Amino acid sequence: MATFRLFARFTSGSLRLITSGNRTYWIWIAVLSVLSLAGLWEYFVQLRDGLITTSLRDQAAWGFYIGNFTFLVGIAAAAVMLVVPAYLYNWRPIKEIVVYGQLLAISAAICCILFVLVDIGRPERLWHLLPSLGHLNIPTSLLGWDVIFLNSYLLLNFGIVTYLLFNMFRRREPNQRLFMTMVWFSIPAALAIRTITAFLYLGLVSRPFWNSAILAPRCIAAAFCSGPAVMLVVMQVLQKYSSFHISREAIWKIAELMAYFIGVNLFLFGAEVFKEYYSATEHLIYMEYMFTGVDGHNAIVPWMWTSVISSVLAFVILLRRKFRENPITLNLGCALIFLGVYLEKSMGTVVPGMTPDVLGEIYEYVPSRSEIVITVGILAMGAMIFTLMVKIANPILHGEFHVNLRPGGTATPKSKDGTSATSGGCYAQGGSAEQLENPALSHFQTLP
Amino acid sequence: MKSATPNRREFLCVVAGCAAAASSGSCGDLTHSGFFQDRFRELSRAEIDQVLIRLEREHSERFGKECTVTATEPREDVEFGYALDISRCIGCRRCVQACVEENNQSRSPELQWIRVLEMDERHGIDFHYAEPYYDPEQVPQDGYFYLPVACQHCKNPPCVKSCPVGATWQEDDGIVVVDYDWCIGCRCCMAACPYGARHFNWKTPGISAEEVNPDMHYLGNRPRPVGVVEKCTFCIQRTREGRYPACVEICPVGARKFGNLLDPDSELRYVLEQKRVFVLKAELNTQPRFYYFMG
Amino acid sequence: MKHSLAFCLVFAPLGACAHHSGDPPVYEGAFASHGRNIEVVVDPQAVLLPPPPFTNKDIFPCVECHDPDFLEPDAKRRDLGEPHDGMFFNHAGERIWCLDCHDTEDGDLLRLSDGTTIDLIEAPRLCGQCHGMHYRDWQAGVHGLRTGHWDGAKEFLPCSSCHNAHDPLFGGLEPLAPPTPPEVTR
Repeated sequence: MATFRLFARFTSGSLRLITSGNRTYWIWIAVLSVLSLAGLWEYFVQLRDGLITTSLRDQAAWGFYIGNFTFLVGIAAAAVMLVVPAYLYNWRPIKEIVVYGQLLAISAAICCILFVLVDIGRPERLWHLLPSLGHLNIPTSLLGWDVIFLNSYLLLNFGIVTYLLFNMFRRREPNQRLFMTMVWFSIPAALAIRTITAFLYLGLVSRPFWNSAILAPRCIAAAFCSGPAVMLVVMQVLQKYSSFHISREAIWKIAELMAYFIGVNLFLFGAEVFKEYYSATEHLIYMEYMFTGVDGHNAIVPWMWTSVISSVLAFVILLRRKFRENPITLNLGCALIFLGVYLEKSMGTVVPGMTPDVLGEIYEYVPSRSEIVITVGILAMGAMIFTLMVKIANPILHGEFHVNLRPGGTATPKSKDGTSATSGGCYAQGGSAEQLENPALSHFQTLP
Repeated sequence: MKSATPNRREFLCVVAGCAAAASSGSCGDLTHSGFFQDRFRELSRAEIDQVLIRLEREHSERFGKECTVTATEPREDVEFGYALDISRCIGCRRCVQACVEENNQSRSPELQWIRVLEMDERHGIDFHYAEPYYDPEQVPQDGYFYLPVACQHCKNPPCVKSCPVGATWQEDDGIVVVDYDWCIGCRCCMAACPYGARHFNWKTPGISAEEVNPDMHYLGNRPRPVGVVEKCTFCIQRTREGRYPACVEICPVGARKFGNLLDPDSELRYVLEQKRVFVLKAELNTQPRFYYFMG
Repeated sequence: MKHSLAFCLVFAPLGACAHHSGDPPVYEGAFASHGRNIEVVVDPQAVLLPPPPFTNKDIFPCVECHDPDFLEPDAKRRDLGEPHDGMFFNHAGERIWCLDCHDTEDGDLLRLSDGTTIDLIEAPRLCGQCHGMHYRDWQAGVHGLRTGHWDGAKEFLPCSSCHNAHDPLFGGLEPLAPPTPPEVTR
């Protein structure tokens, strides 16, 4: 019962946290709300008129929605890059920020589910996917597996983060066995969502462009460089606008891993390009459509070259330690990785796979206005969810919001566990990792 | 699987109870009324009959003429096959039109199950040189041959494998069907199909009362809702009754052949035994039941 | 006049043959097989043949001019000249001419290579003498159009329902409208 009461306090405190903020916060929330509402409105129109409002047609049955879904699965999976060093290797600089990586994963996973939702023709029949109530066609349907793993991954991460934050809130050590079990499950789940999403494509014998065994490794490599790129940028923004802090060691380590993974990604991509161009079978045409256009159809060509050049440049930049440690070149590298991988893994995966179509027809798919508005709306919702979660997580992680404290730092007269709440607000913004003395973070030291 | 059905039914009834039970009466009605209807494959014969009555009523009201909806089952010892003589096909698209009319395909936006490709003789069957939009004054044109493509009713159908909800399956007589009331419209099957045979209702299908064919089959030509996938069913409403598909009967050059692969005296077996036969994209091991031959 | 494909379409629903005066001719017996190891048996009950769809009243029936009482048959192969100018003949080039198929005495009968004369309605037997493979395919229902039931009574057309015996190759046909491209599907 006490736990429930505490959780109610946790929830109400969280609500207070997200409904209070400075001007920048409210402007940011307002912008995201407007974009989300615009997306919702367009989605309503799409529901009313059918998917005819998109540029999707029989010749290109998947497009912008599924492309963004594919990319964001990578972002969601990339949290594992932080989870492994933080929880398994107990590496402190990463441990401080791992929760934010998981929050990003949660937001990305929600976006993924929303992208699938807006893409399907009969969303009201989604219950058909529920095992026993509906009919989930596994093991053969990869979308079926994706639904299972994406939701499990989302729930696991949400469970881990909530459990952790709630225990920090009530100033108790989390149950190690329970906590680590969730962590252990979340690691293969991260790899699974990325792999299964890749299998969703490569399992299609009808589309030679996707039907390649290295598609899954490529996707993992791309995820492990683009995910951290997004995280690094987001965390620097958080550091600027909130009490969040990330140590330089953490940034450098992440940047180093990013450099390796963009290298691996480029290598695997190069292997694919070599295979197609050297063997020059009839399957080459999809690659040609990407890089040179076919019969004058070349809408995607500039984007694909942008992607390749960005990725190569990012690799060259991030490979040098000097550039990784310079915030300007580091952020440039992150931006280039993001651009390169986003173009490659969203439209660059979906469109050439379906163009030309299975009967050789070339329909140049370019997303419609409505698709773009809905996509932006979903991304805005993702950003909103992330913002709100950070708004709650930040003060908890910094000991500014716990059972003995009201959010905002005012100490409650009597503390439950007898400890004084004075340390609550002591964590100075921008302090270095070594200064972390917050008892709220003590569980980190005791984790295996 | 079957044993779980009553529980599911009860659960649905509880869910439905909040929304509509008061107005709709008994639970049995609810589980067969549109939204809460079970997957066709899991319905009992009695439940199917109830569904058919409801559909007949709905379609008859909508089109102002008597519509019949059957769910004739596959016959024993029948496996359908199709053969098309590409040395005869002249690309006149009569089959496309007959198919649209027989199978109640959307007129606006246009949706067609058969796609006739004009192939360049210099390149043979190379889809890169396939032209579906040819429109000369007369066909056949010199230097081209014609390749109509529709559902190949594969023995190893990639579309069935990919469906996340089991809304599409292969019947015992080989016809690959879609349950339009179960399909969620994710279009995995369209991505999976190597023949471009599956089509999506991007918009509510447009079909007028004059145009509608009132002889319908649940898994075949009954009008489809928006947002689901549809495809050739070998004219299931005709062929399960022993008739030829509409495209076979309309073909002015007699290029289209249909029959029972298990009957050694059928046209299909004659073609397979006597003619040079090929299937499209044989390397994918989809094992089509749709054969092309040169007569 | 050229038989067009459209002609074949008109006759496709063979309900039309029921209106033919008297019983529709029924093909006698099973067709003999021309190939080795092939036994094509067509149920005579199932094969209903319509009359040959001659449309050119100027040349049919032959006996209108070739009445043996008035016109002595001349079996010598030659250019036919003025009375036949309206007829277009394009069948195997120079290799065959009228009396390779028509009976010398009665032009409205056909004569098989063994001398048997048959009715025009039985033309497939004559055509099959040269076009054995097509004849066999036709018997099996694989050459030409079939309607009816795949598992029962079938209706199909004899050669001359679709082909003009004097000019058997088809002309072209106007195609129906092409599909709407995805770019303009709204």
